[in-house]
Amino acid sequence: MNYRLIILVSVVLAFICGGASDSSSQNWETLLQKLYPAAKKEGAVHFNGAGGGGIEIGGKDGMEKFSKRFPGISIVVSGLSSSKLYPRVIAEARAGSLTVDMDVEDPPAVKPMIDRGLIAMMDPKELTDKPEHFRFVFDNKLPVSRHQITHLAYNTKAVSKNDLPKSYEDLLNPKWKGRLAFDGRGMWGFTHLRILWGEDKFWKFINGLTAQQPLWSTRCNSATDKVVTGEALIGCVSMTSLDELKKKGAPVEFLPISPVFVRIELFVPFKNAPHPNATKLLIGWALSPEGIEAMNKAGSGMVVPGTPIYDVLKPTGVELFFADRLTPEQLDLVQKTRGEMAKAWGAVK
Amino acid sequence: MDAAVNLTRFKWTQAFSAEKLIYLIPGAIVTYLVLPPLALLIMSSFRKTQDQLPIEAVPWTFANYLHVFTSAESYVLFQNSLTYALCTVVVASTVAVVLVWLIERSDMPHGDLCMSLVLIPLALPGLITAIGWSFLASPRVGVFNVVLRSLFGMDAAIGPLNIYSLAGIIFVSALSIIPSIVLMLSGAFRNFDPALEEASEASGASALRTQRSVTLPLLRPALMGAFIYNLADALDNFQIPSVLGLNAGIHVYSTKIYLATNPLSGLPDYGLASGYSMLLFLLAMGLIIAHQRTMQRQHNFAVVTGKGYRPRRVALGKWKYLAFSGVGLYLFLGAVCPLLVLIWTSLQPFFSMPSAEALARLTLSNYRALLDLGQFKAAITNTLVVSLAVATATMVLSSLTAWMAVRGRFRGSSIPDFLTFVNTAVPSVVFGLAIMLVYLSFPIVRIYGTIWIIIIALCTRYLSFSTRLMGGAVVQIHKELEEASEASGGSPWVTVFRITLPLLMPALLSGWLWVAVHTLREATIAVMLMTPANVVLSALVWEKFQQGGEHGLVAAMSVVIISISMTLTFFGRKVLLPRQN
Repeated sequence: MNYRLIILVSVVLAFICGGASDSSSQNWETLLQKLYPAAKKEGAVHFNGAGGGGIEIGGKDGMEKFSKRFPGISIVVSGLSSSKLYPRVIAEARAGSLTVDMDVEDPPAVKPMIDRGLIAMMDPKELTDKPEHFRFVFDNKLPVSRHQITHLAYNTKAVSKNDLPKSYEDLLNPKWKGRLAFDGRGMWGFTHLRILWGEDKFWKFINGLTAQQPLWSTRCNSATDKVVTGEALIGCVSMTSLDELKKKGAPVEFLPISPVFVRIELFVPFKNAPHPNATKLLIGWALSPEGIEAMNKAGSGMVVPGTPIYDVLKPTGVELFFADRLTPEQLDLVQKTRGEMAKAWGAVK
Repeated sequence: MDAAVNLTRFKWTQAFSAEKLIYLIPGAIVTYLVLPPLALLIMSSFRKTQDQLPIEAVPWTFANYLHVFTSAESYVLFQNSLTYALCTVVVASTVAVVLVWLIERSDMPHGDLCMSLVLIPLALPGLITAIGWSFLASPRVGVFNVVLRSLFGMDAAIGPLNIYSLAGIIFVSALSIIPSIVLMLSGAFRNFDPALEEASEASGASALRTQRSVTLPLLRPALMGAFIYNLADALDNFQIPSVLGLNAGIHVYSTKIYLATNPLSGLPDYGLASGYSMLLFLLAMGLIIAHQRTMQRQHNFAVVTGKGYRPRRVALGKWKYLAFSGVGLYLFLGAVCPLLVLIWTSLQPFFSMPSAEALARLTLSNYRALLDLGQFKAAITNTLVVSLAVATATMVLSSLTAWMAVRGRFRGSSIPDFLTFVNTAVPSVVFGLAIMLVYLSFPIVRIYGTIWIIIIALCTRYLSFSTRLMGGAVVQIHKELEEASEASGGSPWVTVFRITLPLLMPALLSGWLWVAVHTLREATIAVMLMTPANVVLSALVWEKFQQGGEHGLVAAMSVVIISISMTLTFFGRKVLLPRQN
C-alpha cells in the first residue's frame, strides 16, 4: 500500500472538512449579518413569552449576547399568556396598530391565528444555514423554538419516595385527595392522554381526578407554589422552574411517572408587526449555535441527547412522548380537550 | 336693523356665555369619555361573538341575555355577587364610620397619625392584599392557622380559618375598601358645624343620642354616597375574588366576566362578557336612582353656612385608649399583617412559611432581580406620570361636573354627573376592553399603546368617585355664601377663588390623594391596555403573578408600590390635609 498517498489524501480530506466547518460556522453569521442593517433601522423587537424573563430566547444572558452581537437593537419583553395576548393581537391587527412583534406558543394555540392570517410565515433559508437541522411546521414555515415540559413534582419533606405514585392512575388513590395541585399550564400534559388512552379510559381517569378535589387555578404556575409550600403534596411544575427551585433549596423533586409529555413551542412572528426585520433577526439568532447554547443554558431549548434537560430526564427512566408527532386532527383534539377539562375543573371546589 | 343685530348678538352672548362654556366644556369632555365605551358594551351584548370580535360582522342575538338570566349558574352567581357586595360594604362602612368619627370628631390621641395609618391599606393593591391573606389564612399552611392549631392543641390538619370562602373574601375586601370610605367621609365629618350638636345637647340629649339623631342623619348624603359608590365598586371588584374565590369555586360576576374574556383555551366570548356586564349595569342603575333621590334633598343637609364655626371634638374620657386600641386592631389586620407577610416573602428565595429554617434563607435576591427586570424602570416612570396626570385631570373635571350638577340652572346640567355614575356600573375588565376597542376602531386619536390611553381610561374610571366626593362637598356649601359675595360686588371669579375653592379644598385634596393612590394600585384596566410601551407597576405585578412561581419578585414589586404610595399618602396627609384643631 502506498502509505504516503493515504496520508496525503487524509490530510487533504481533513483540510476540506475543517474548511467546510469553518465556512458553515461563518454562514450563519453571514446570513444574519444580511438581516442586520434593516433590523438596526427598526431599533427594537417586542418579544412576548409566557415563560417570563425572555427565557425562550436564553433569558437575560441570551438577550445580552444578542445585543452584543447586534448593537442598536433592544429586546423589550412581555410575558402574557396566549389567551390574553392573542385577542389583543387580533384587535390590534384589525386597526393596523400591532404592538407586539412575536410570541412563543405551541401549535394548537397558534393554529387559530394562522387560520386568521395573522402570522408571518417564514422562509427557513432566510433564518438558518442548516434548515435541515431544524423542525419547521405549518407547511414548513414556522420554526420550532424549544421543547417545553411541565410534569408532576412532589414535596420532598411531606412525601417519602416509597409513597410516590408509580403511574398516572395511582393519582386516584384516596390518600391524595385534596393534596393534588394543577394549573392552566400543568393540565396541558393530561390532554394528550386522550390520544394515548382513548375516550373511555381518559374520561374515567379525568372524572376520577376531579373527584380527588385537586387545588386548581387558571394561573400558569400556581401549582408550583402549592407544592413548594406543602399545601399540595403533588402538583405540576415546569422543568425550568423545578431546576431553579432546587438550586434555591426548595423541597421539590421530579415525579418519575411515564409518559412525560414534551410539547413543542414555535417562534410566532405576527404579520404586519412594527419591527419585522428585527424579529426575523432575533429568530435567526435563536436558531444559531450561539442562540441554542444560550437557550440550553437558560433551561430552555430542546430535549435531545446532549442537552441539560435531557441529561436530567434520562436517568429517571421515564418515557418521553413528543408532541411533535401529533397530526393536525390530534392537535385540534388536544385544544378541544383543554377547553373541556377547564370547564370540568372549573366546577371543582 | 341695529336693534335686531344687537338682539341677535345678545342672544349669542347669552347662549355662549362664560358660565355656560364653563359648564358645557367639561360636560362635552365627560360625554366623550363615557358614552363611546358604553355604546360599544351595549352593542357587544347583542352580538354572537363566539370566536370573533363584536366589531366584526357577526350576527345579532339575544342568546347572551338568555344565558345570563336563565342558565343554571346564573342564580348562584347572582346570590354570590349580591351577598359578597352587600356584606363587604356593610362591614366596611360600619368600621369606617366609627374610625372617621373617632379621628375627626373625638379627642382620641394621635388622630393625625391614626389617619395616616388608617390610609395605609389604600396603598396595598387588592391583588396583593389577597395574596398576603392567602399566606396568612390558607386552611392548611396559613400562618394564623398553624399558630392557632398549635396554641389550642387542635388535631385537625386544616383550619380553623379558611380564607378561601365567601366569608374570607368579604373580610379581605372590607379591609381593603375601609380607607376609601374613610377618605370619602372625612371631609364631611371635618366640616360639620357643631352648633347643631350643641343645640341638641343643650336640649338635654345625650352625646350618643345627638350623634345618632342629629349628626349622622345630616351626614346622610355623604354616607349614602359612599355606601352606594362602594357597593357598585364591590360588585365590580375582581382582584380579591379572583385570588381567593376561583380556587374555591366561588364565582362572582366580575370573575365570570374575566373568565369569559380570558378563557384557558379558545378565544374570548365578548358577547357573553358584555351580557353579564349589562346585568351589573342594571343593578348599578338601581343604585344610581337611589343616590339621585338622596341628592335631590340636598338643601336640607347644608351645614356649612355663612356663620362662623369651630369644629368641636367629643371627649371620650376613659374610653379614648380603648378607641385607640380599636384603631390599632384594624391597622393590625388591614395593614400590618399583609405588609409583614409581603416583606417576608420578598426576602425569601422561594415562597415559604415563616420558620427558623426560612429565617436562615433571608436574601435580597428578589430586589436585585427587579433591577435586572427590563420593564421595571420604565414601569416606575410610567406609574408616576400616570398617577399624577390622572389625579389632577380627574379632580379638575369632576369638580366642574359636580358644580354643574348641583348649581347648574339649565336643563341637562346633571347629565354629565349622571354619566359619570353610570360608568361605575361598567366592570373594570370590560371597560378596559371597551376603551381599547374604541381607540383601535377610531385610530384618528392615536393614543393606543401609549400611557395616554391608560390616563384617559383611569380618568374616566375615577370620575364617578371624585364627582360623588365633590358633589357631597358642594352640597354642604350653602348658596348664601356665594350670594353674599355677589351682593358685596365680588365677580364670579372672585367668589370662586376666594370663597368656594377654599371651602372645597379639603375635599379636592382628599380626592386627589385618593385618585393618585388608587391609580398606583389599579391593575385590571392597566392590564387590559398594557403594551410593551406603556406598562405600569401594577400591571407588571399582575403579569408576574399570572405567570406564577415568582411570589418573591411579586412581593418585592408590591413592597416598592406600597413604599411609593405610602410616601404619597403620608406627604398628602401632612402637607395637603393638615388636621384642624
